[in-house]
Amino acid sequence: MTGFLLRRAGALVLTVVLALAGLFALMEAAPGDPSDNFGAVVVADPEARAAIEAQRGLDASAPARFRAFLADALRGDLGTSYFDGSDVASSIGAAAPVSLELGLLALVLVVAPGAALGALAARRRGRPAELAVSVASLLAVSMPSYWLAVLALVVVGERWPELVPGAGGYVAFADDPVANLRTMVLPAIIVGLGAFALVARAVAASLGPALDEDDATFARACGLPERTVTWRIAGRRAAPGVLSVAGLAVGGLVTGAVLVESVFQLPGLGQLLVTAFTRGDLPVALGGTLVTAALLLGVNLLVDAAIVLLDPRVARSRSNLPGATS
Amino acid sequence: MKRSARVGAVVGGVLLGAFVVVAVAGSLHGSPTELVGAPLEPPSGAHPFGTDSLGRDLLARTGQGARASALMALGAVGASLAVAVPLGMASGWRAGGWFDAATMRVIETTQVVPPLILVLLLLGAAGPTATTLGPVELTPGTRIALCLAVAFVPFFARVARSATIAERRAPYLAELQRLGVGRLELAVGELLPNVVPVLAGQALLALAIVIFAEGGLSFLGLGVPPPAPTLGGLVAEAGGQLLGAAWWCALVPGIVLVAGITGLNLAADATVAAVATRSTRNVP
Repeated sequence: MTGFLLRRAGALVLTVVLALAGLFALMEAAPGDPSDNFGAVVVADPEARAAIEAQRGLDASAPARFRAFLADALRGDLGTSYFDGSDVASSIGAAAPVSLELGLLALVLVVAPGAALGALAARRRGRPAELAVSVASLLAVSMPSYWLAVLALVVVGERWPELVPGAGGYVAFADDPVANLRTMVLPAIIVGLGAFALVARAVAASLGPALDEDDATFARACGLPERTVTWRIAGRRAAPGVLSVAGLAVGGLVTGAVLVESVFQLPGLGQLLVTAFTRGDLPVALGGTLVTAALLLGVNLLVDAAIVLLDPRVARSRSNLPGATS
Repeated sequence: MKRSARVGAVVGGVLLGAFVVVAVAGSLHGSPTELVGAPLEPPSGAHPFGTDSLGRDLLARTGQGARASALMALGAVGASLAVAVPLGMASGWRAGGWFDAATMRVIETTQVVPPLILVLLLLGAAGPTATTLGPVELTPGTRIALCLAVAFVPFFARVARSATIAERRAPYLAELQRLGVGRLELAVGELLPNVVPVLAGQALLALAIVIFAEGGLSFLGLGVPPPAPTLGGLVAEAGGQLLGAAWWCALVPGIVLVAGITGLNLAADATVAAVATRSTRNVP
């Protein structure tokens, strides 16, 4: 178990270093020079430009700059914005709570009910309930979040303006919890729809066959109530299949946040990233991407650990690392 | 095929048909950029989808946008498959070998961020100015399609790889190899026909995702620049102006977008189900 997790963590460190190298290469390949983005007074004056380049270490060779970039990133120093010179790490720190709240609300309001609906569909196979759940998840995955967000803004915002955060109308939770929650619920529901569909489908697909297995039938024959059979017997068998989509579900939440936050003017990570990309502000864009990658990798490591806890055979078969196949 | 799967396939076909009809009718209806009426006219006989805030015909704009989305999706998925299938098959042929290990490591690395963010990064690195690839100058649309194609390579390569690994276990391949059939001939003549059905469902799903993502990029203002209409761009325009009374501006292009994505999702589900039925029937 420990050895397995250490191996996974080792592979993860390698992936992180490779990803950082890839990001650095992308930054190098991008046309233009970081110093083009300094103030006009600096760009026009070769001497001032050289001085700032030297000050920021931009005149060193590419390998030296990569080492510095790597060391800085590992220390949590993500550089400064090309656009306004603000510290990237602290901008991310300020934006992260908004996105985190959005994600947690989406988990509670949409993704958890999605799991419950998936279980309902698994228990009522071939009945109207299953059809209803599969239609709901098809619609949830097919309706683009940005379109729903605009509709919500136009339709709900017209009639009940207090339910949507208008332009600059974001209220921090610490300032006014009630107003904050009232305006965050609708965006959170929209952000969570993609993950809702994914989780509902995964639960239905894994739990359905598990309810037909011999152990479930035997438990039923012994007189265990259906609730116990579903959660204790079949649920344990279905859990790895459901957990394996957790990374994708979190990825879906991140994508949703990127698209939805800018519609509702929520000052979260998604809006930070989009603004950075529209302005060509690479340090902020890379910093935000790194935080996203760290989140996904962390979730995947936790999922690996949970799968091994549920089924220790996984750790013994080296070739069948979760995620290594398919 | 189960009855529910058949119904799904039919509904998917109808939705895709509707998407194509709008794309064709809109493209024939008139210019998407000409001012043809008063701003924000509700749907009428002359302008079935109404007009936008500048008085441009919304049917023509939606149709052009749908056509652009469809072309971009086909181009991006086609380009991605052209790279990913040989890569995935070469990987799966010697699963566990050094080439496989190296390819999979790179693929895992690109998958540490959600695909949309990967596309944003690639677009960001490509820069805002016109890009040239050798002697060819890339239009913004081509550039976005290429970035989307790159983002899908890991996904398709994985599917092709696992389909290849599954098929490699079949004894007939080893027998044919012993008879002296060349590797390339085996790969193209025997392996590829068995990998393609598995890929077909995933390719349809990818078309749906590309249409969604292209809309998202246009929506964020990072897609094909105006005045060329795109479905995502139309939704964004409607949202930017908060047209509460002019409901059709946000609703109609969005419905076309949803019809296309839902249709492709249903078609993907039906294909996956059909391939699964076929392969269980072939197994004795």
